[in-house]
Amino acid sequence: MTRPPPEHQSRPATEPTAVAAVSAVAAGAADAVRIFNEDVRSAVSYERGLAVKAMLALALVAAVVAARVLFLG
Amino acid sequence: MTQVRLGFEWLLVALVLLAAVPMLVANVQFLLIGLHFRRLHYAQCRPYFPRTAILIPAWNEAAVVGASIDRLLRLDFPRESLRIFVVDDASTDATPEVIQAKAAQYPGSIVHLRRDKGGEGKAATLNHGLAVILADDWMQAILIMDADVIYVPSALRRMTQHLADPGVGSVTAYIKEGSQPANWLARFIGYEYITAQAAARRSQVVLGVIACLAGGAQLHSRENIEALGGRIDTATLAEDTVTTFETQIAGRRAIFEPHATVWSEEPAGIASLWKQRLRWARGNVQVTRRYRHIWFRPQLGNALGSIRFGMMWFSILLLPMLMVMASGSLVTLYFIDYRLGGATFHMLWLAGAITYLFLTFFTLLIDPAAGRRTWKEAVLFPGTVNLIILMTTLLPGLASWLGHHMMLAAGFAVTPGWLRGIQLSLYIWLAACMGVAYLGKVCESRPLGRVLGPVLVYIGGYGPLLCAVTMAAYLREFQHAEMRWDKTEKTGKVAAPA
Repeated sequence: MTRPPPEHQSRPATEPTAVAAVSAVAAGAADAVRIFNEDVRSAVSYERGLAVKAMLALALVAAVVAARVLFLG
Repeated sequence: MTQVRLGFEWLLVALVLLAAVPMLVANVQFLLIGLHFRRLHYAQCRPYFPRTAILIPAWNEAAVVGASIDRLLRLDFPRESLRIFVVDDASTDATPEVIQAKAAQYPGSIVHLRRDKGGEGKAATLNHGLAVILADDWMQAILIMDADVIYVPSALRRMTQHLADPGVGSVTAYIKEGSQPANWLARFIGYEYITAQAAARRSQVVLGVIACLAGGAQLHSRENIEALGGRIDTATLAEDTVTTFETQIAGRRAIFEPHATVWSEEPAGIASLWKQRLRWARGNVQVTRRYRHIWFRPQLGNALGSIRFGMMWFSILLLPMLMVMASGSLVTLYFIDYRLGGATFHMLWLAGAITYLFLTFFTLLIDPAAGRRTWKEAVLFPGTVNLIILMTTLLPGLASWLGHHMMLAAGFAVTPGWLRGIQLSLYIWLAACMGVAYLGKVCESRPLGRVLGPVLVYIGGYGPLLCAVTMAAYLREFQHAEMRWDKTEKTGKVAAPA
């Protein structure tokens, strides 16, 4: 039986603040915002790219169906 | 009499074409992905690092849990805001020793909880940990995960940023198959996960509803987990889906963050996959029954009750039944109106071919890296025979010429009788492919099964194998079979690609 009661569980040496900023690690709050902005920018760009990819996939299907109807029917 | 017969024939045609509805739904679902960029939640996000309890249920996870803890503590997240609670579900291997060694290595970051009586399922194990975590007010967010999964360093911070919006109750990540080396089955699962996670969840975001927060990557705000009663439902085999539904029914948003990547190890053999998927499929049947008052009731004001979400949910759930019904109807048509049967079959497969082309091509583009690893399995996902039928539908002239010459080369004369026999076989195959794929599972443990099992799945199809699992789930639920938590064996072969 190794289950410790909650009050005996080991705790971090210092109690963290309600919202610990990235500065608590190493990067600094400004870096946290910069990293966040970069993450969002790359994610939005990727998601916009998916709209183009959906069009590409549709175009492929349309081309195959057209070829099927015009030449292979 | 003629009118009755005509009516019966058209009823059969309708039953066959009903099997095309899930294809139509899948096409619409994938088209919605193109609109995902308009429904992103980032405007409500900010850098946010709440005190996060990571809850890991563990039963005989000695091979994987140590590496998982190491990885978690290397996340791009303030170390003092992380605390890992491993609930050891009465493990009989070295799991307790591994956890204790890690607790000594990372003082203050690891809490080892042990249940003396295990085997009650994942939900009961999670509840043991939740009771401890909720006993004090340290935790602001809780990440529920599996012992084997590997989070890429940015994954958790990409998930927690959504909790900065108080309207969000939970967040899930993009789980990818990460076995190294990836055997044939891992590659099938890898492709399946692009469709089921990266693709389907994006379209669900567009619809404003998430079907399931993956059990290996569920982040909840404290408020959300408390609103759920501070515990995970134990009445079904799909505790993660119930949590997802309850979160949204309570009016909180569930978010899918596709750029938070999590790698997991999936079953290496067909029997193991079957057990895992049977548990999931039975869970889905149970969830369907449990929320019967919600389906197709948009007036309730919850997106779970929307017609579109209901169509998506039931398309997957009923697909095997529709395939059997279509096959039976085609066989009946064969005997009463051969020509009409042929035309209906052709229409069904034309819909299938268009769907196959669109979904496969688009899926490979959604996650090109995973697509490069799994493209062969993507092509063979419906099975070799079904692939031939699809190609024949798209290129009938070429297929007819090839078939004719191949039969002549093999010494068979192509007679109308032969052609009719092939036609009837193809009608039966629509349902029989599930049986052939199932035989792959049966054969796996027999002599030569390591070769024969995969061969049968490649012939019958991985998709039909999943349909066979759903069929088995109907039967188990109909028989009120015992709910068993068959844990998937993990060996620690998952690795995040460099």
